[in-house]
Amino acid sequence: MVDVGADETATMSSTLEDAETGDSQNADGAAVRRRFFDEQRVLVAGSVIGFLTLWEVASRQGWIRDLFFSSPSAVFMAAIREVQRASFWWDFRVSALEFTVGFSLAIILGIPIGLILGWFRKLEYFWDPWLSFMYATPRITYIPLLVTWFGLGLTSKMALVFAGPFFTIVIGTLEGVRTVPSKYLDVSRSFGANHWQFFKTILLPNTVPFILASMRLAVGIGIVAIVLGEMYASQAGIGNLLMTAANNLQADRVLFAVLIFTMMGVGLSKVLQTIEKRVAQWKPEQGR
Amino acid sequence: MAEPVLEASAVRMEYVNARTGRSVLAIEDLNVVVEPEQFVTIVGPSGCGKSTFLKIADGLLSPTSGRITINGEDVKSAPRSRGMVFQDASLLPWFTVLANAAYGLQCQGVPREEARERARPVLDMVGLTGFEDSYPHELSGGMQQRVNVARALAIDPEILLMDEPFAALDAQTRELMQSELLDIWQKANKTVLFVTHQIDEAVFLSDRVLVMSARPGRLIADITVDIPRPRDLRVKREPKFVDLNAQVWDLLHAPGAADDRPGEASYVG
Repeated sequence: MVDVGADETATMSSTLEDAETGDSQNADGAAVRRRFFDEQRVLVAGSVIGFLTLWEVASRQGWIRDLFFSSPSAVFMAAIREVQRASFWWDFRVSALEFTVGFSLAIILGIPIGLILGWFRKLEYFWDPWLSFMYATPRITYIPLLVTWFGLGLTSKMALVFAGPFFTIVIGTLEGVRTVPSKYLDVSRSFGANHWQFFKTILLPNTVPFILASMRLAVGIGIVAIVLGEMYASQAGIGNLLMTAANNLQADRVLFAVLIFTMMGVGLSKVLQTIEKRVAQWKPEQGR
Repeated sequence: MAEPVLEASAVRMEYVNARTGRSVLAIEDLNVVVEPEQFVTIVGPSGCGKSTFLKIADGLLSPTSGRITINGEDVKSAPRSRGMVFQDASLLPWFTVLANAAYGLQCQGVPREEARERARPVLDMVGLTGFEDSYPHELSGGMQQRVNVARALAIDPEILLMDEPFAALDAQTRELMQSELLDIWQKANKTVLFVTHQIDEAVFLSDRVLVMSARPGRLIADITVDIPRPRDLRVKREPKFVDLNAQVWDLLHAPGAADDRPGEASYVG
């Protein structure tokens, strides 16, 4: 009685989760309270601490060149220096603004368009060649064109952050609409639901998990867009900071910028994951 | 005689198989009359069009020709005067048991809270008190079917249409559900049109058993089951029950009943 849609989403989101955050809880996560020092925690902590220590030691002992590889303590110091500078916060605001505007637009336009295309087959057939084309093309290849159209300022990066997530969200939403089991359609028709009731009680609940899963995928794509857009053509932003630092051979600042993007990705996908869990309360435990 | 609740006249259903492109005659000239508070079962081999007939009666499909009326009104135009109990429970997995039971009422425009208040006693009647806030996946197959029944009963329909609701249950649960369905039917004073391929289920539940032939579906017999009510499961061991079972079995296995060619004329025994 488990519908295919729920299953697919779960697989999709759990792979995503593993890939992006390395978080792998057991199936018993909720049921059994874990001991503080269990096998899993020890291994995770050991891996992280061990690697950082090795890196630090290797750098201090001169086994690796500090200039190219930096060290955990140097990155930490670079972070302390950066957060005290106004220029860093300016870069941060630029990147955050580009991401927020582009990603919000992708959501605001992507969800309704996905719903409409998913519901009206003929419209989907008509738009499908363009959707497939745009989805398959690496969006990064638009950078030169976007810069020509929108210049070096924020707009070209916003357009780039929009372009990636938009198609991902459209296709995810569309997929969710398409997988509404026909038996639920029969139920709503049998009991005389009108279009709005059908939308509210069947189409939307079935599709929301798909939308959220596609948004999680889209976060990663959007961040890649920011990084590349700013590295390629910009006057500000964390990607710009990264590129400048790299040109000056400041490995510690480069790694600090990388960390910012990582935290952005992890943070956003955690937020979406929390929403997903809240929305999908009705789902059977999926063993993750 | 009272006005029939459901009346199907000369219902014919032809559809084009999407894959082969050939036209298939699923139902041929079906006439059915269901009297108030009767329990009528259609029994027939799989693929005889009995589920299709029920979907036509529910207005989910339009017949090629002929019409079905409930209380004299065409099912296509009449207000929702029937409650469908689906083959697999078809509960909405994102709603709780209570919300599922109230779903039909809500579709009819009853405000959410009122719909839920009205669904509560129905859940009680099908024996699901205490499970209001559970989700469908947390219930067993038999319990899911109870919610399915409650959802249809909650809208207080003129007639309950039941499409092989116990087909997916194990034998013991199925028998339990059969006897509970009879209790509910007697408490609720409902008219029921029930579809199954199980002969003993048909005989046990019904006042009348309508026997359908294999495709194209035609009515080949209308058998009155004069076993007194209330019936409990021990009835199934009585000679009369066994005889009726055998009678239906013979009809279903007679040459011609399983005939796949379109028949010239149908007769009602």
